[in-house]
Amino acid sequence: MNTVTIQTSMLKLKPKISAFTRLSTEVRQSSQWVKASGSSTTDDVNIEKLFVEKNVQKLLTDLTDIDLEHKVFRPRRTSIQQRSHFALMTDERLEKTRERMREEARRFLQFVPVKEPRQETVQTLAKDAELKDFDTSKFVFTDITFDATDQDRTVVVREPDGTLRTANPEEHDRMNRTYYQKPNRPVNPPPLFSDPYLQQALDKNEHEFVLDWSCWFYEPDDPAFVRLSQLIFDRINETNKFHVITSTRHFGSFVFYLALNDNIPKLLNYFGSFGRLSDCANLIRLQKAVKPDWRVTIAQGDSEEKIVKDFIKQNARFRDQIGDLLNFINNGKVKQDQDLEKQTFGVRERVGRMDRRKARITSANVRGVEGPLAELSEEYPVKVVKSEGSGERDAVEKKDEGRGKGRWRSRDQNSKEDKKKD
Amino acid sequence: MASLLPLVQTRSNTVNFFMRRSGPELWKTLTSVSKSGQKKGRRNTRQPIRPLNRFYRIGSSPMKVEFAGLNAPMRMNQDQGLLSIAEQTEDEIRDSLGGVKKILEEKDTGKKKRNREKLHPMERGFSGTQLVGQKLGAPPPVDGVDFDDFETYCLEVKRTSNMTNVFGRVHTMSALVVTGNGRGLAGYAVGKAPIHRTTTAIINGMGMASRKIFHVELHEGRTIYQDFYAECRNTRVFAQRRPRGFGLTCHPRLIKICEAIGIKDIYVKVEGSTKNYLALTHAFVTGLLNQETHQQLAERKGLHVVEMSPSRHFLPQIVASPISVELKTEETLEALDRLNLDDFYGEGRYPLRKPKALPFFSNLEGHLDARWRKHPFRNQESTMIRLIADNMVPRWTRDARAAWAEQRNERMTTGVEPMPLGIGLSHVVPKKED
Amino acid sequence: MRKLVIPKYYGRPSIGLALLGCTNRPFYHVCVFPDRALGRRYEGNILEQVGTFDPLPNQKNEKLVALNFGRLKYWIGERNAHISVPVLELLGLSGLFPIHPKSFIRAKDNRALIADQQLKTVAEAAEAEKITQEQDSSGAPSTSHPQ
Repeated sequence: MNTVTIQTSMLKLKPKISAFTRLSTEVRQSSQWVKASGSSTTDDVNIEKLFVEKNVQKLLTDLTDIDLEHKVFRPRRTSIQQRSHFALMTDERLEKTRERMREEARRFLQFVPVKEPRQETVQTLAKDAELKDFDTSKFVFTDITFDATDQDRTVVVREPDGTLRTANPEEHDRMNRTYYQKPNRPVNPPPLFSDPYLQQALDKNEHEFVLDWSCWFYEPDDPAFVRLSQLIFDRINETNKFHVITSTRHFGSFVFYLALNDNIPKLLNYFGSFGRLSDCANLIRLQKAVKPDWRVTIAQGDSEEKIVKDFIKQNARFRDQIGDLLNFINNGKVKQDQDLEKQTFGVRERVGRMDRRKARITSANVRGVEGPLAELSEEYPVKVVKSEGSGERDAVEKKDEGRGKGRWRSRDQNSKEDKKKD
Repeated sequence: MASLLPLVQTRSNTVNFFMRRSGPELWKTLTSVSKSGQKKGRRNTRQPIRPLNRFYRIGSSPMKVEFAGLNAPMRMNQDQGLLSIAEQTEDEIRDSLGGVKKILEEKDTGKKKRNREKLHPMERGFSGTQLVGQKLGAPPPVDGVDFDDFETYCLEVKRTSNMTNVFGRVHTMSALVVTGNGRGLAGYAVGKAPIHRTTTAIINGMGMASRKIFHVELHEGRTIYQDFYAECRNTRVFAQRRPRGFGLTCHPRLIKICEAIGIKDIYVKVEGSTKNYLALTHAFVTGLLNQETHQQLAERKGLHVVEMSPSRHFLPQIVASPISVELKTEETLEALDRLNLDDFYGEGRYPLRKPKALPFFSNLEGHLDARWRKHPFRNQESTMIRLIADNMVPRWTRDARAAWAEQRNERMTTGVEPMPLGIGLSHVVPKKED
Repeated sequence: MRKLVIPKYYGRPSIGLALLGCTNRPFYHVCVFPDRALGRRYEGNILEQVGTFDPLPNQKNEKLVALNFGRLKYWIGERNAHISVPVLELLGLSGLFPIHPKSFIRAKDNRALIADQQLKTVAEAAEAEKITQEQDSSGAPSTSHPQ
């Protein structure tokens, strides 16, 4: 075996493979992201381009509100124990820090790319009938050359019947996972991504966790990833659990998917129930941007209310789905904050304990029930001692909770009453 | 029969030495050790007092015969005679028959019986059967204030001595006692009692401690507000705030103090004398009481106190803002206010950090060899977990794996599953049939 | 052990399979050795590992081969390495080389074996059928004549 034959055989294979990959990205009939039932009119839409278009991206980022407290920076379990830091800040400084955190959050909320799945068809590179039954199992060859990336790594399969073919996306990614391990990325997809367990996780409002893990586990153009995320998006839409995905990095692709499939009324209703008119209008604008031949027309200078009203007028068939929105538009009534509390309960319950403890005393509430005296503040007047003022020392009471049982408290009260008499 | 009365009365006069002396007196002649004998150490080898009348008391029998003057009072009327048999129920008869056995059993159980119930390892205290370090319950109520939810720990019991003019060296038991309700209230005191009265000393200490209650502000109800340094005599204490779930990593006596106060997460390094527990307690408590809360800090500095938690990716959250003082702005800020907050506590002192010494065996040949022998199995556990997760093996027990292998072997030999063949595997040749 | 030769500059390098793994579980590394004459069992002899080969099929009935083609090309093209037959077979199957004759022999043998087995199973099936037919033919009259 000399070098010349190797070179020639490699030369023979290499262009074939690269040509095949190019072919898979360019020629396509319809998008996997558009469901057949939604609308069959638009076939040749390049959703990858559409998703990164400037105005679409802007609408999507506007729709994804940034909830620092309860969503982006909610308390998470960290790998190492670390104590929290304390700092002294002025208002300006605090605002500056918050702004920096908002910047960070924007980076955190960068959207998961929406990509067309790779084609599942494979290309036969060589066929050798003489080689039939040389072995009972397939041979999978992976090129582990140092500079190959996960995307352009060559993986070929020799079938038992002697054909040599390129690997399909599933095999390709599996080989990547086998030879290039990463933490929490096992070789086989975890059972969480398939149904009994997936549904259990979704029932527990763990949508974000599942989506995050699937992002880590799959490539964005993996057919399995596209299928899984569509499944989760559909279930969110069915069960009206929009709160689990708002202000996460999956919200952009979620809204985009809904708009592509002409499926926005439930989300509109969700925005409407909070009285977020601009979001409603943006959503309708997005739908228009994604589907230019949509019946609703939006003029340049239309106000937000007009856009929404036009939409309601022209889509009477959705009337029963957008009850809250209609209620808001017609009566100006927003759903109670209680509902919000209830909906975000899944997220809050992990937070709740901490938040209650951190009830803060400010000059506004120091005299009220929320202050340090709690219900005692109704009985006794609270005076705040200025630092330079004359000392009425017992005016500001320290927080009294947890100081033993009734006897103590009663004794304290008695002494206070005595002082009052004096 | 003539009266026995005069006989009884004259017994002490007529009989010999053994009859003249009482039992205890007689025993004393056998078992006593003289003062000089004690000095020579004869106390250890003296004879014990033997309970001779343990099984059979004179005059007692299963039939319960009453001998007047021996085990029954003398009766003046002579009608019934001097002997009489008391009436017994069947149970009493049975009891008296098994009397010896019963006494023997009692003796056995008495030896085995422990006089204190077994304590949980976490409540056993610092050593063995001593009270030091054990939970002692709530102190008694004082002036109508009850300490129901308090818990007391004794940190130390020691014998102190004092030289006096009259009595010479006088010893006293002294007990250091801490009591607290686990929610910030606590007190500590030293109780004293005469020598060997350990329990009395502890009880006195409990009483004193419950009169000296102080209150410690706890951050989030579990840890200290800021790192501090405190000292007393030759004991230096460096305490550090720690995150939730860290636990108490400190001197064993400090652990008890923290439990009494209600601190749940703390790291304390003690330098200098670690055995002067009173100084240690005093230093630690002084440090705790000298803390300032976030609210106080905000008042003093005129700035927001902002918490940045790693679990929230360091999102700033105000925990306290000044109420009585005007909030400073960037213009009115002094250079001092711009410094890092953590650098102020501890007065510029830092505990000595020593790297943990390796155990003596870490470089021994046998140990290295053992480590090398374990080396092939370093990934076994993660592999096991992965195989179970992927449903390759149902259970990771020896039996389950053997069964699985057996099953595969069977499937291969019967031809259900093809035998793996090919490159890199040895060829399988069927056995020749003769 | 003191080395008598410096492996790096000794003789003509050879690419072969180094058997690792444990009892009843073979696993190979595709390695470059300093010379064919030197042993393969000794890990100090390995110049470079250029791939792995798992001869036992996995759950999905695949035998996994990983090859560092860049380094293989270097060793074969520039250093003129000798290649052992199993590695040649693997390279042939992967499409880098023409298929090795031994693979064809293997294929032929396997096909013969499979044909043989099929014949055997057909014969067995026919025999079994015959037996059942016989039983039926013998059993039918017996049921009709209970005597």
